[in-house]
Amino acid sequence: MNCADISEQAPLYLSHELSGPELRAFETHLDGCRTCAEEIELQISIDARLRASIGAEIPNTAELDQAVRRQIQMISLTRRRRFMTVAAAIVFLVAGSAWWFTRVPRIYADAARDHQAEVIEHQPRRWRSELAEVNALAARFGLPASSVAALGPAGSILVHARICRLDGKPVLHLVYQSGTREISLFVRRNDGGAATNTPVLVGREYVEAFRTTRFSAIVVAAGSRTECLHFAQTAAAVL
Amino acid sequence: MAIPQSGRLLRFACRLTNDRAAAEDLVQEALLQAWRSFHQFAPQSNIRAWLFRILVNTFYGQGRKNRLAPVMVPLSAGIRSRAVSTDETLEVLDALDQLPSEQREVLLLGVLEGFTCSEVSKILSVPIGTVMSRLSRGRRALREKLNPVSLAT
Repeated sequence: MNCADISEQAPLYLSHELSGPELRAFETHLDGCRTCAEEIELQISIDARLRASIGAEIPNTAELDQAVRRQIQMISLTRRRRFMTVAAAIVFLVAGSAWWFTRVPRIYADAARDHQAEVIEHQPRRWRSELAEVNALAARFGLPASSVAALGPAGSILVHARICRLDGKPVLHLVYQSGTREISLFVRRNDGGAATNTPVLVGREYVEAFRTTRFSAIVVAAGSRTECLHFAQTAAAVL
Repeated sequence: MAIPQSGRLLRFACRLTNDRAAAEDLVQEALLQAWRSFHQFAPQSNIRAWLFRILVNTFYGQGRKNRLAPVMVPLSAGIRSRAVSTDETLEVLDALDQLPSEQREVLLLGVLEGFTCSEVSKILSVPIGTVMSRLSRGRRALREKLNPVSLAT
């Protein structure tokens, strides 16, 4: 190590970052070079003066510390509030979507309610029982006169019909008797309304909605899923 | 309870900014920044160096945002008023005041705060060779400015 090396390495020596052979070479040079040794001594004394004069005082930070703690508390509170808002929004979205995807379309609920009130509970309504009258009603919805009786499966008979409203839309309500069970068939022109893939239970009624190219229809049967499906399949084939 | 290192950070910030109020703002901002990014701190590394690095970055970040703002007052103004100040202290402070800021920074970190050259290099984000040469130049300049009589003692 020469004097130039000592000058270059001095900061590392003073901060105790030299070790092993480097440190030994450095100190060996200092032992043999009075100029470098004095230079290092001067640097050490400068460092000592710097530390002694301004290093001993550490400013009081009580107020500063308090301000920092207050700000941290405020940030934590804001974060917690933001977290709660986001959490509430997520819960709302999840609950909303769950409700949206599992809700029963209003038209199914209306059909089930009508069937319960008018067919099961026999609340008084102006029904048309004559075939000619039923055919006339059917014609208003574009149903061929001959098809009305054929909509029900074998063994079922058409009982009566009337025009009612489901979800605000006029619908032909046909009631068929199959054994002891009465089944409702609601027919309207195809309006692109939703169809169920399988009968859904709305209250005590099974409801199956389907669409053909010309008609939208809903079958409601109390208590029997199979009968509901069978009836819907027969009607769909005719319509 | 005092926040660890806040006193040392403030002492260093006073000398960076030359303004006690600005230094307090700077330390406050740096400590908040440290709190926010504490998850980035590697537990086996030196927390003091990490805090000083954040302080320096915050200071230069502010400088870039607001170049015209700093109003320079003498570095030693705060200390000068203290009862404990002696002629020796004032003399050293005056000498330090006159150094270029990059030399002052490495002297404060390397000598006063006791960081190694490699730690100073990380704190200031400059190569270790640069830190070493700034330290050498700073020590030499400081020595030249200080009273040669007191130097000999």
